[in-house]
Amino acid sequence: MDLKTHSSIFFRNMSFSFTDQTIFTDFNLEILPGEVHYLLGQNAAGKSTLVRILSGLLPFQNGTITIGDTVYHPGALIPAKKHRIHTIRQNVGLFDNMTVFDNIYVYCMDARSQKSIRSLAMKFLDEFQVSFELDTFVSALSLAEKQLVEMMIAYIIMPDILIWDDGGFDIHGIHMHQFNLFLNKLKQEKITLLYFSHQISEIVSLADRITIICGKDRYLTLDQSDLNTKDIASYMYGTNIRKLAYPRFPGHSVPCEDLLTVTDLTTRNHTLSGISFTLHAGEILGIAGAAGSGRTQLTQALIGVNPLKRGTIYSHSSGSLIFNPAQAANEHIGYISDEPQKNIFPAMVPTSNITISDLNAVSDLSFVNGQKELKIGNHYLALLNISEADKPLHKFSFGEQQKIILARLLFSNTRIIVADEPTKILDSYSKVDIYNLFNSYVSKRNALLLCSSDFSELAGMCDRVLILQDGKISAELCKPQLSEYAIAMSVYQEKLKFSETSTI
Amino acid sequence: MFVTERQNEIRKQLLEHKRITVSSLSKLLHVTEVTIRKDLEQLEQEGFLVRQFGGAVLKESPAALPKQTALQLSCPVPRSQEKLKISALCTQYIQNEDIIFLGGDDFGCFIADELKKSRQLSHVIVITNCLYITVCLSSVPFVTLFSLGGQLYNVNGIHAYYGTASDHFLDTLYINKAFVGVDAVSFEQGLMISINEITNLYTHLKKQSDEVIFLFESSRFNKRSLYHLADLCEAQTIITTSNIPNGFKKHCFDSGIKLFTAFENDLDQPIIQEE
Repeated sequence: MDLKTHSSIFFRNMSFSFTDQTIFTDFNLEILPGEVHYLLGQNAAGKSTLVRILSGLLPFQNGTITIGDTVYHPGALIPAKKHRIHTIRQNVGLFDNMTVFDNIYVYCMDARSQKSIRSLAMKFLDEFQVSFELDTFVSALSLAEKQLVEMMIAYIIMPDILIWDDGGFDIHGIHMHQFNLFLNKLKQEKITLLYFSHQISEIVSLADRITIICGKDRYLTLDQSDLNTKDIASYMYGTNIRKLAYPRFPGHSVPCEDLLTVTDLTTRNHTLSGISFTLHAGEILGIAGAAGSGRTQLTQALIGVNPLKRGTIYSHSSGSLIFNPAQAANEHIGYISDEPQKNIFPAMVPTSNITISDLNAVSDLSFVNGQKELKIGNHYLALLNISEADKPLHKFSFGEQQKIILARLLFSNTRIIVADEPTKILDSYSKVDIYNLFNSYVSKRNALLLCSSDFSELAGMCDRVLILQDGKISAELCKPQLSEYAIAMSVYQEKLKFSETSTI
Repeated sequence: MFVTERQNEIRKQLLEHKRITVSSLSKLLHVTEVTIRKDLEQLEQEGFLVRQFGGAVLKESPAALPKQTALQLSCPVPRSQEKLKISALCTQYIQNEDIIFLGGDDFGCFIADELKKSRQLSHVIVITNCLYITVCLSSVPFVTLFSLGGQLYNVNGIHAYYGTASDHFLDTLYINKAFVGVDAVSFEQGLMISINEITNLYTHLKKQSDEVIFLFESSRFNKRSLYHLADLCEAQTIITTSNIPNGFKKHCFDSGIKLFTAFENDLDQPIIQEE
């Protein structure tokens, strides 16, 4: 351990481009040895490209990267290993059907003996007060626990440089004290941490320096002491680097009838408290919030999955309250999650996946009528421009899967769609399709609740946006004031309490 | 000669001579007597004339001349399902108190037809250079209508004003949404049109409008047409159908062009016929 070289990383005039898109031109950055460096950037700003370059998965075209005194030639995993670079890529690195120990062993076997790995792992479990055992299967762990396993692997490898890509997922599942402990350990060992994230989280305040990447040659590095929300927000969202076009119809100025009224909603697990709002027909209502503010909890509460302690969800169409998922379905409330693969029947063809939401409509007596099913299925497939529909759904792209889930909800006459990050993993062309579907959906006097961590999407698609803060609604932004920058300001201002030190 | 044109001719003859025979009309208009009889029947239903043996006479009382008959034109363009869908979407894009421009193309005519039926709007100002649209919207209570003047051209069966006079008038107006149909689109050539007059009109339209909305059928993507209208990067908003290729969707989203797509089928549940 004491042989550590404490090397810094230098990016000099680095350029990188895919065939049709330039990601970086003349990128210069110095990462100091042993620092915690937070790299912040919007989706598609080039973060994951940088992660892939550093971890050896992609070669870059021009410029140099030096680590210490030696030039780093990425493009293969060997040089990355030689420079003792380890990468944590959220939800990518673990084998679900193996035990925790096997997973660790796969990563560490070339460096240490099985015995020493086990003893180090035990030490980690002890130090971090982790509740699971080494022989548990990874598939049985929660997301937060999986993150702990990834941390454990990094802890045992003890690399010189640790790259952590939160991959657009929140890490709030981990207790902050565990993360703090981990950071202290890294600092003790003088390990450089590069933390990549698309949003501002608590970890920002633990970093030594922060670099905001805006793509190509635009980036800004700040010291911890210079940080303030206004700068970060205006740099990330104020100057429109990439103007994306969200096709949203101008809402009707005529007030529409109420569809759903939520009053004083408080969940049993206290993640949400005192939430009240009304959803009108024909509107897209956005929900924004930092990691851990309760966005997902709220969407789950609305479809009756998250048990309530207090408060009501009142559906105006039938005048009844919603307490459980069955009632939510009866009131024609549908749900779309960020990962379509969770919600489909992968081995079934698209048509069956669509009609599954209302089998009564396609059945004679108690048998499914294949012809009816096909007829209805084809109606929707033509609507969505999906051809070659006779293969199982898992062979379709995520975008197509997500569209089929939407069609399923349309088929069961859903009046309210609760969408939790519906476009997070989609390509831009699938996004255009989904947004246009949303448009025509709400124009038929339905409503959409859109939860998203993509502020530009919220600003582009929503008529109103509610800001969640620690399980409460802290603000509501309406059309004229609604912008990416305004959302970022309201989401982060409270969260990080930078305002105390800065001069806003 | 189209039905409407023929019937208008019959009206003209009747107003002039008060009475007319089937055989003379047949000779005059170069159609069979059967066709003329059908036309007369239709005009009788409208209350314009009374049929007699071998001919017809003008209905005597001036009150019997309904005002609208003089201002009635049927849509000069053949209906196309895809164009209708796009036009319906355009109509949804129009808000109260908007000042819109409808051009003398197929889409303009269809939008006017749709607009007439709208129930959500209470006031819209429409500026047009097209004769059919002027007539079509003249009786719609919530539309304030401005018609450009100038030389009347017949372009593919649509009568519309073009030329310096209409350009001058256009320059004095402010528009917030201008709908322009284009004939072909490609990445390299941009937006193209087959009628030269429209390119001239567009240069004025561009200056006066907040937003120019380009309309085309998805089948017109990657095709060629005679005249260049604008580069693709000039476009802010495009409305087409959803079967436009993915590459085009991606390009629009990433380069800041709002792309609205009309869907082939209706979102609602299909009705299954019991056999």
